[in-house]
Amino acid sequence: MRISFLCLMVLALSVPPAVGQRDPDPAVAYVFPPGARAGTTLDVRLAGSDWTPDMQFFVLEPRVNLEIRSSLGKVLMPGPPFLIGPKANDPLPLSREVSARLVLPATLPPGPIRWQVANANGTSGAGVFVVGSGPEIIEDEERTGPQTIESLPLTVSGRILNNEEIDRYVIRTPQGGPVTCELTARRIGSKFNGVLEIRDSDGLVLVNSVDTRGLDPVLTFLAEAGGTYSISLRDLDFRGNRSFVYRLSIRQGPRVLAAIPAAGRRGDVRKIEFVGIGLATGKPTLESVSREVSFPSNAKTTVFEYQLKTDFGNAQTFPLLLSDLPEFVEPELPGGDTGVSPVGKSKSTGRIPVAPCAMTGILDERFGSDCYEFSAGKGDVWQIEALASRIRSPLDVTVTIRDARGKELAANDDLPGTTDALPGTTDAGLLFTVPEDGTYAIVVRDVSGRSGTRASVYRLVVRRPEPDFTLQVPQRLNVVIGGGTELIVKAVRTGRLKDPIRLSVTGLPPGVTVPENLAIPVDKCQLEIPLQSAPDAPSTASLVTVTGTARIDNRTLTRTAVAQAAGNLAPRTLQDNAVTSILVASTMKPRAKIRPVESDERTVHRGSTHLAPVAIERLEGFDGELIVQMEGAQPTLFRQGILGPDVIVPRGANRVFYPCLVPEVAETLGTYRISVIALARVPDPRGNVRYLLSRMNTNTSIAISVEGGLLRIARAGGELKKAPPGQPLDIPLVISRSAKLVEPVRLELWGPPMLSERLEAKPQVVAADQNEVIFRITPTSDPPLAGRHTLTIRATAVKSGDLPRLTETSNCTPLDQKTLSLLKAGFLPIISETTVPVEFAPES
Amino acid sequence: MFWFDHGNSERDYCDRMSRRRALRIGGSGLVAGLNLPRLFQFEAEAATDQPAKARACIMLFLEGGPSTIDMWDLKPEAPSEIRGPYKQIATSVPGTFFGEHQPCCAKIAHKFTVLRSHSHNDNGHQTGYHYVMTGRKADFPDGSTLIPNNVLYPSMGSIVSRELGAGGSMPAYINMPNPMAAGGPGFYGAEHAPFVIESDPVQPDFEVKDLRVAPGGKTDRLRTRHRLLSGFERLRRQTPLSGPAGVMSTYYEKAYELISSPEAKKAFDIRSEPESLRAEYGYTSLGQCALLARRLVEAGCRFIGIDHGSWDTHFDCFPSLEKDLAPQIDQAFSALVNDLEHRGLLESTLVVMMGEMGRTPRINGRAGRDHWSQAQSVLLAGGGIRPGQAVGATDIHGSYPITTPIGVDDLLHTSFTLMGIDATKTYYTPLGRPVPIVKDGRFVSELV
Repeated sequence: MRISFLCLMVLALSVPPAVGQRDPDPAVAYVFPPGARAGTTLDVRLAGSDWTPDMQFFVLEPRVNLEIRSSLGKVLMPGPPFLIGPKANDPLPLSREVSARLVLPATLPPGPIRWQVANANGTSGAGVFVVGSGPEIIEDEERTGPQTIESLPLTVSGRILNNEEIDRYVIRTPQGGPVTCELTARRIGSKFNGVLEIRDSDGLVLVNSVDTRGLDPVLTFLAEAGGTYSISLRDLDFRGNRSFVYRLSIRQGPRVLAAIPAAGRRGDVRKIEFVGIGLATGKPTLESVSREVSFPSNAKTTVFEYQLKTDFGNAQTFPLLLSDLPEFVEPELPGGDTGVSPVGKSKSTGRIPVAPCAMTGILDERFGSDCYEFSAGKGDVWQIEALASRIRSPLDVTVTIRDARGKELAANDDLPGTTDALPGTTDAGLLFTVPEDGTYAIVVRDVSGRSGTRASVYRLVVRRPEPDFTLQVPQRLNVVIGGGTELIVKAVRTGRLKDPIRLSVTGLPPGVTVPENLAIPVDKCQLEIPLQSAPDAPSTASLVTVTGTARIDNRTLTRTAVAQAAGNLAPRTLQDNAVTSILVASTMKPRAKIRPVESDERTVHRGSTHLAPVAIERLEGFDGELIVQMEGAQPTLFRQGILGPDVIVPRGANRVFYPCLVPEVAETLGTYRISVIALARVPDPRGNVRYLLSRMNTNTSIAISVEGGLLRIARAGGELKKAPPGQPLDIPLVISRSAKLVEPVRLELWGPPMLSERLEAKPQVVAADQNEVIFRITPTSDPPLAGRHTLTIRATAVKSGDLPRLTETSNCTPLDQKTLSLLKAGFLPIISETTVPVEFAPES
Repeated sequence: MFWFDHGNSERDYCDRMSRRRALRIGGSGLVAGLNLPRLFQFEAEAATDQPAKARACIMLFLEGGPSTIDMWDLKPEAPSEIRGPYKQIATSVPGTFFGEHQPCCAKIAHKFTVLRSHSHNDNGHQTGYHYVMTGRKADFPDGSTLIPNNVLYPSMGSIVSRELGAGGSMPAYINMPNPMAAGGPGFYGAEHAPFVIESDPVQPDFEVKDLRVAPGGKTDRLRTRHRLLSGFERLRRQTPLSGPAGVMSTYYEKAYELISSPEAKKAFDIRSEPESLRAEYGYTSLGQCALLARRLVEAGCRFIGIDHGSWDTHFDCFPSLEKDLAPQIDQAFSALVNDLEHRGLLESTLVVMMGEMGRTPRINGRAGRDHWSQAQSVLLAGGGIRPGQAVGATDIHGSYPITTPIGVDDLLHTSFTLMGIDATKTYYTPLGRPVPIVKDGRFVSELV
């Protein structure tokens, strides 16, 4: 069925499609391995889509050194098994990789660091790399069975590379007790929902955790002394992709879920109740233990990571907030035992004894609420915040202010700044101006349905707003050489700040300037800073910082503007994505527009090559050579993928035929789409060669309707082929052709690549009237190849075509060299492949 | 009246994957213990006073909505933004003209009829598909991806299956190469769901995998499992199955019937056709499906729905129309009519070629045509259709019928009547709701 395409068309009818120029910016995809311990040097693969050979790389942590060690690789196509049906319709971007080396100083604190790329087309969003603090290993991606983990704790950097892949790890637990496994995937930008499953040595499932909320799963189970357990990890929909990188942390120890109180005053020592799984007895139940905790007196940080030690192992580090406020716990409040509150007819939790202060509350009744009374005078302004996600609580709290008659005066569900892009940041807060002298109530509720346990905690902060400000800026910005753009700086003032905020901008790319004496006036909440690029500016990018200063009571407050970076798909708080850098690029105008000549679908046989006409419109007087190649961000209905080469558009030409190879595995039920880009090699005003990319417009792509193939190769019989040691193996094959295919077929051993040196098979040409052949494969290695293997045999027929010139230099296309050679020689390949399970007997 | 226990959930009526799975299980031998099928027990129940001309129906469904103004109902006098780039050509019927890319059909226009005034008012793909296949307006918004989307009302093929049963050991109702989006049995239940081939006959190694015993399956093993399942069947009769188990049982019956039928294997063996005939139909998915449909009619199948996509031509429609779509249907439809006639099957086989809608007369800003259900040409041949006619007409722009519009119900009513099915017959849903085979409509006497 063409259902999805038809759906698109329905939308197309109801709302005219926005056929517009698409952003040519590059994108980042992943870094693999996605993390390492501080103090190590790590070779990684950085990947992204629509990268050009002239990429610039940036790490937003200046202490980390990044060295690029290879040129840009080719487009990486996902391999089998392929998704079919609706799940195949929305492809993930196709990536290209470079090798790089990361040097992580030992002084780096654990946590995420971000990286970005830029080129003459623009800037990317951020990717995430994690600095760890404990022992680490990298998944052995070549293994054929579960990977054994020798000791705990350990963090595995791995990835779910292919569809249907399940990564399995085996652990042994010499000592019994709780074992905690935590996946970090969405938090480092991996677009999969993990499923963790624990099995015992008999293969029985003990416990699982399914990430239906998109927040990364974590689980704790009780291990027996001397036990062996299997940990399996997969995507919820059994998808896999090169970008599905993860970090799996496995630790023998309990798991802390909450701390009561959630914060402590700097420099104080106080008893903290920790609530979590297995904290007291090691059993997988919710338990509490208390510890005396010394809170650091460091005024620069707002959080410190505390690691709870128990008889059953160390828990994970848990963030405790550092505060300068009096910190209370809900039952300690006066008036909490008086029953019904005189305010709002709610059950009173207690009276707020002093302001400012903070309370840690527990909604231990399911769907319950807490009601705090306080007295206030007319005109007073109170800043009231109810924090849950900020303290790792599962609650989604709301805060409501009521007067003595129970009338609702103010309410908030989510703090300002929470957007769809920041799911899970659902804490509440408001500014309350007291209308008249009297008694009021703050009601805290949960709307997540996760209240009802001792771990259902929140922190209520009541204070008068201090005069202060914060600045918000975009995280990336492009300015065209010779042109200008605006950098919008938004200010959020608190506590009736009465001074203008003077701004300074540092780190701009060469040739990009801003006016002097920048300031956000007292009566304004933002400033549009004009960024101007000189006509002779080089095309380059740099990290920019915006700093604001304001005077308050003879003090100078300095604040660095904060941007919300991409890369973390499951932030718990706004702070999780906060960075202080803006990546600004001097970009160049595109030199071409590209579009398919036939944007409605053409019918093509699977396994065949279609020549799609593509039109080029040249811009800015550019008359040079262009390269047309596959786009990384492929459109909906790319499905199992169409492959294409890198095609040269000669100087002055404005039309080219782009060869589209439809894979033999393509579903024969509807439309396929492929998008291509045009790449122009152009010097910037300083003579630096840059690569300018032009995409097809929105809703425009080459469209193909796939029918059954012209050629099929299959092995005769389904049984395993067995060969004696060192002897050749004869594989009977059946070749089926359409009457439309009268050309001979060439057979050759195609894979797997790792056996290419150990097996020899003479390519065989099969005449048009021959349907059955014996294909001989001879082991060549010494010692002889042994064991079971799956071989791939490819059949290729060719038809003549009026083919464009292919590029000899670009390394983008994912097509193999033999297919490219056919295309370069002017032939359109028709391809079919079959796999043959074989077994080579070991030498006796 | 026959009652079939459908279970409690509408979703259980026809699950394509479940059915396929059942057939595959059948291939591996699990169903080898089924009782003999009862697929034909309804054949005698079909009854109308009208003498039936058609014993089978082949529907070529052009999914997406064909641009009939470019093929069957050209408007050479209209402005260029309406008439499009194609010239009209004369046909074998004096005074009737087709588009220049339909030369094969033009030559045999005297063998079929083009209905130019088919009209309705549902401009959605899924909803329109639902409407033309069931005669009922969809109760869901367009854009549904549920297949089949007709969870309550039976499709045309399922109605034929229920009323006529199969004419041999073949399933009464088949979809190819993919399931029709509105081809489900609705409340008629799994017994009247289509057998879906899900393989493209143009493929050189085409086979219906469901007819093949899975690798490793052996005859004696099949028999053993047959006996085992027979035991379960006996138990089942004591406690009639409902819900998913009942549906699966029905699928098993169908699966075993097919696997054990040499006639079915023979019918699907399209490679036994001479190459010249295959080439006449065209080595396209549609062409080979049409040829296979003829073989299935010969084997006793009652309704074959061919789902052919890519007709939703919103953008730059003319290259794909003239290079792919129009030639494909020109070749396939004409070859099918000629072949049926040559074999003496045309009188007893109703051939219908249509989409869920037509396309806008006015060419849009992207050189395509958008959805337009107010006027669509439908090609009808055989089965009692009077050939050589152009029934109905549209205005100078091809926008609206200027003769009495023929609606969905009219076409269904006529088709069923030609097949000897009483279109006014009423069945009751499991909740007791009366559902006539066709809600309204009339027999279109101009067509016969």
